[in-house]
Amino acid sequence: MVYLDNHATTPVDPQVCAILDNTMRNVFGNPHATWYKSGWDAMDVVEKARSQVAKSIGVFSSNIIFTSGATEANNMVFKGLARPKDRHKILVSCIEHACVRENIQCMQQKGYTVKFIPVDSGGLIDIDALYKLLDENVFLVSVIFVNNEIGTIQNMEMIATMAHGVGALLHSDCAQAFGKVPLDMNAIGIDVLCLSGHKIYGPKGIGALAMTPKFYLEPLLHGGGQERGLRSGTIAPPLIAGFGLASELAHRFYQKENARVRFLRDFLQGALLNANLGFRVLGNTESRIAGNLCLYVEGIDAGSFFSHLENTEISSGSACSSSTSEKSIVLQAIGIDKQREALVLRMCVGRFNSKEDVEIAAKEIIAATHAVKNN
Amino acid sequence: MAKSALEQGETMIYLDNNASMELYPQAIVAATDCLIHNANSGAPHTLGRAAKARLEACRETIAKLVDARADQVLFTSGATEANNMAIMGKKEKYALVSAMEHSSVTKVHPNTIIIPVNTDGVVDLAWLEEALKDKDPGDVVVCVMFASHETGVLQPLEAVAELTQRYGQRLHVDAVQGVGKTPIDFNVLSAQTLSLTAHKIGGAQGIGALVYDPSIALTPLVRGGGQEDGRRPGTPNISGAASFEAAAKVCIQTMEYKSKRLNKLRSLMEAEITRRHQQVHVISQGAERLAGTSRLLLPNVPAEEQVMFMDLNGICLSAGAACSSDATRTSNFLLAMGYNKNMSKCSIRVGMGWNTTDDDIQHFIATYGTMVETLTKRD
Repeated sequence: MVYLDNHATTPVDPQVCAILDNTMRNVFGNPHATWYKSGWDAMDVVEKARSQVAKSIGVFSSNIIFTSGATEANNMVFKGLARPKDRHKILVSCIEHACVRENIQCMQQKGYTVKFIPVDSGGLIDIDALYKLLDENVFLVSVIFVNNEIGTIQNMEMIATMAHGVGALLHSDCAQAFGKVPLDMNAIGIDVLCLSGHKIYGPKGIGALAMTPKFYLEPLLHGGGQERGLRSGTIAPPLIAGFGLASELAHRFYQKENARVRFLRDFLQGALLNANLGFRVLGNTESRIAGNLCLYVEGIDAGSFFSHLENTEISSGSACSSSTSEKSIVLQAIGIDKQREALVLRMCVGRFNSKEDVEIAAKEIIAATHAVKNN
Repeated sequence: MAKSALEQGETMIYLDNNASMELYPQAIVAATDCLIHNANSGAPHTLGRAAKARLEACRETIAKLVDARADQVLFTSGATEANNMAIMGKKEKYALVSAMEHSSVTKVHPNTIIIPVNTDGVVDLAWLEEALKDKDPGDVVVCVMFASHETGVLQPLEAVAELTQRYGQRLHVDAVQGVGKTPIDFNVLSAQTLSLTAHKIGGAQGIGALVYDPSIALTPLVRGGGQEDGRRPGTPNISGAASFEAAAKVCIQTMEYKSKRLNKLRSLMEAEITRRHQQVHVISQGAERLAGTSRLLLPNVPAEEQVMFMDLNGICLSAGAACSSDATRTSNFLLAMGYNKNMSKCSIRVGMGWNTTDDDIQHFIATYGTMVETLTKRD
């Protein structure tokens, strides 16, 4: 089976799997029970992982709050925002993930005016439009660093400078960016960002919110006051240990990995485009992550196409919404008005893919397209 | 200076299973297996569908654990999230919560009113009825836990449910400590919501569940991709769910035997300790309690000294809930039960688990004896 859906989730790295297994076996104490040894052991595991995550994005441990994943972290940001007296506007890019998009109504109820920042046909933020939208009333700008469908990498330094120029804060959903692009929070100028374990070859059920002291939040979950009162609930040392190691591996090896993954992706892209089946690459090809390949072709029925794929695991969009098969907000934003008979293939080559994988995938996709066309 | 037991290389005895239970080997294997065969349960391809099927199988088992239907089970990151979801899900005017509740229940609703308890820690039903009488139907969410994490005392949930139904209010039950240890039937309980967590029954930390009555439209706490029927978005933690399932299966099979065994061990331990040390008082001893949970009060010896002594002698236990048990703080639930401030600082909790042996308890009794000798006979 060839797995090329690394945007949806990634296979767990064997090293991460080993540390999770080991932590479950040996460190079962409640990390908040710091008056006996197994509690300290658990807390040590958590704090080591916290510093691994912190280092990989260039901040201090005290900037990291562990959550159950990026969805919770993003929700914490928007639900926990207090509205300052003097600012009432929030700018959100029009290609955000559902867990940001679905919070817009909640922000409006709080009295914020929400404006969308348009993107160009490649999915990059329209800087001129952003410039026009920014003024002294803007409290927060939210831009997804790397898009989860077309893989577009935004010019975050520029966006940060512009936002800070009017005194606004910058939030970024970095679930797809983490471990794929340089992510030094302070150097880039992101004030609050969200991370996820299972997109970086770590476990599901764990993520983090990283924030600078400039940012103040009301907690979403109330209770025992863990994570400095910002996120109550017993934290899970095994998941956190796995996330910590996954972060360190991602941070240390992403450049090497990107080079390898880019080579494989380019091979796959070349093979599919050269087959002259009408495939078109979506998203800016100059500024996208190494593994991403999002293709569009008209005149092919998606249902019958996927039924012809036997050994290749890819999807046609975000896993969060593909079960409801709604229209992709991202594709609409870049000007693709998806026809009834049109096929979108979202692929992402990852750490564990080989040359053979992409060869098989290319062959199968081409064969499946032919099969549907000839029907 | 004498070396502590731990430094001498003795094995540690873990008696804090109410805080986090040691994982069942089956739960570890299930979680690791899931981590290896991993995919996003929302993805449409074969691996994604397999992950989804795995998650649904876990849901079936968790439903079975509390005699509910699979479509009544939502996976969450744990009981704190489940409690928060349940309490804030309908935005009633008041939350009436028992004095024994966990902080993830007491600290959630802005208008929280405490239901008093008697000296055994059992909720005052007459008070509850009085309080419910003058509230409009639909204005209150009543929260009474199944069993106390602090004393193990069981609550008269049948009567509580009858009252909340009679006055048209909603009942939420935090069943974290009762589940897997004593049979729970969600339908008989007639609560609208029930929260569970894996790490108190021998599964992994970071996964829990909210069992709910689908006729109650709960507002989700987080928004996003529409997973868990839109009620709890976020990619589900399948390896966590698998460990939860494995632990639940063991619990279903062994519940009866295990609770008999732990009840016997506890009776033996309490009888022996109170016989040897007449000043020791067992909290809620007269009430119906969860098997394996005991709270021992040793007057005039601060709990943190007792806990430290135990730790230095290789026994892990605690003074109370891990989240609030800052050693200097008094146990508020003991004040609510009528203990004075001084007394409420002097008790420790013994939480036995599936792997607690007779030898462990014998060792604990002996250590407790030495502790009483050492800590009460000082100047």
